Amino acid sequence: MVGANGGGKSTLVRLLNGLLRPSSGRLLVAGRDPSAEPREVRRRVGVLFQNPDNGLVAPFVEDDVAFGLENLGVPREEMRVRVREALRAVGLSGYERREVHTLSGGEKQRVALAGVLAVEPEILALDEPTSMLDASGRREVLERLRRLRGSRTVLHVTHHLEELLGADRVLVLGGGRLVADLSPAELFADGDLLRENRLLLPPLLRLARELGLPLRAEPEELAAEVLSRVEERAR
Amino acid sequence: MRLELREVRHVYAPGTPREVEALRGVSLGVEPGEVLGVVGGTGSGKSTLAQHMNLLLEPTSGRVLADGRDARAMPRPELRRKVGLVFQFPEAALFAATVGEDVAFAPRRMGLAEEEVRRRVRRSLERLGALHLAGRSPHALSGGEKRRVAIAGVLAMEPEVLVLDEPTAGLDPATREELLGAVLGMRGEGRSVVFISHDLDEVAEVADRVCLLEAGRVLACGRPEEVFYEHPETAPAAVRVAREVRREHPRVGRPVRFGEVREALRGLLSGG
Repeated sequence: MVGANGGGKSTLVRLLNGLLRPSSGRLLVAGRDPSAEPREVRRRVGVLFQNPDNGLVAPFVEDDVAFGLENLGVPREEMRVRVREALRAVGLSGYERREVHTLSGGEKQRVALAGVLAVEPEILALDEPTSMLDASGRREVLERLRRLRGSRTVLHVTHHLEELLGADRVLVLGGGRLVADLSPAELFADGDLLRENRLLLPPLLRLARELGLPLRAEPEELAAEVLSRVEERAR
Repeated sequence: MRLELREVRHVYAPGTPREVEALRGVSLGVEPGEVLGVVGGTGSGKSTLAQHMNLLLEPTSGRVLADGRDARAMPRPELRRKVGLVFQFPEAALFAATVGEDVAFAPRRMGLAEEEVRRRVRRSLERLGALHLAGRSPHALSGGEKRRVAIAGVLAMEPEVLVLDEPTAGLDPATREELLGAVLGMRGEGRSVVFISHDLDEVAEVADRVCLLEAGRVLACGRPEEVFYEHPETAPAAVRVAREVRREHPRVGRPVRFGEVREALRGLLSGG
C-alpha cells in the first residue's frame, strides 16, 4: 500500500485491528468486524506500527518478542525457538537479553517486527517496517517477508517503491480514497498516477527509465545493461 | 559556529553487564555553513553521536568543542539554543493546542519579544512548507505534517547548527524532497546542518561532506565522491551503477548526485 503522507494508510491499518472504528461503512477481517470482536481479529492480524516505540512493551528484547506468543499460550520451549528464529530473521541474533531502551531506532523497529514474525499471524499489517533500517537490514526483512508469500497475507505500507517489486498487488491511497488497485509494473508505467499521488520512482528505477533502459532491481544489473549498450554502439 | 568532537567515547551503563560502548573515539568537525551527512548501519552510533552535539549526552571521555571552547563550560540553555537537535520521530513531543503555539514554545522560553516570536514561528513554518497548518491541532495532522511542524519548532530557535536525526524516515517522497530543499535553504543562510540518515540517496543530494560510522568509529570522512566511491557498500544506488561502469569507462568520473550520474551515463550512452 502506497500513497502520500495524509492519504489514509496508517488510519486504515488502525481500522484493521480495531484501534479505530469506521465512522460509517463496514470493515471485515476474515468475516469479522474488528471493532465488535477486537480480540478475535487481533489473533489473526499482527500489526507493526510506524514508530517502534509505540509497540514495544517489555524491558528485555526476548520478552518483547515473546509477548504475542504468551498471549496465545504457546508452550515455553516452542516459544524460545520461535523467538530465536524471529530475531535471526531480522538480523538481531544474540540480542535476547539486551534492554529495549538501550537499542537504536532501527534495532527497536526490528524487535517490533520480530514480535510480529514470531506469531506468524494469518495477516501481517506492517506500517513502514523498513523505514529506519539500513540497506542490508532492509534486504533481510524483505527476504523474510517474501518467504511468507503463499502461506500468509502481507499488507506492507511503504514509501520505498522498490519494495513493491515483489508484490502481487499494489493499493494506492490518496486523500482518504482508494485511488488504484493494480500490479507494480502497471504502477511504475503510469507516470500520471505516480505524479498525482506524489509518488516517486526509487532512484535505481528512475535512472533506468530516464536512460531508456529496462528496470532492474540491483545496481550491478543496471550497470551491466549500460555496459552492453555502450559495447553494442561501439560495434 | 564550528563544532568539533575530539576522541569522543560513550559507554552506556558502564560497569554493568549491560555495558555497551556506542562511540569508540570519534573525532570530527562541523564547519559553519556546511551540510555534513552522517551515514552508517543500524546501531553504528549515529544517534548517540547526535546527542553529543548539544551535550544531551556527555562523553565518557573526549571533548566537544564549540568555536574551540569546551562546550561543557557553556551554559546549557545557550548551547542548546545554538545547537538545535531534532530527534528521531520528533512529532512524539508535539503538545500544544495549535501548531502555531507549539512552534512558539521554544522562542517564547528564550524570552524573545512577542513580535519576534511570531516572526520566527511564521518563518520556520514557511520554511518547512507548513504555514497553512498554523491554526490546526498538531494531533489532527498526518505523520508527514507533524514531522515538519516538529522540525519547525527547533528551527524557530534559529540555531547555528541544526542536527537532524533521520528527519525523513516515514515521509513520502514529495515531502522528503521539500524537506531536503529546506535543509539546503538553511545552509544558504550560513547555518550548518548535520544530516543523519540511512538513506544514502538523499545524503548524496544534500551533503557537502560525508562521515561514515561503523561500530562506533569513524570509518571515513570526506567529500561525498571520496567516501562513496571508496566504500561502495554504503554508496547510493546510482553511484554504485556509475562505479561499476567507470571500471571500464573511466571518463564517467565520480558523479554523486542523481542528476550528475544520469548525465554522466547519458553522455557515455550517446557516445558524446
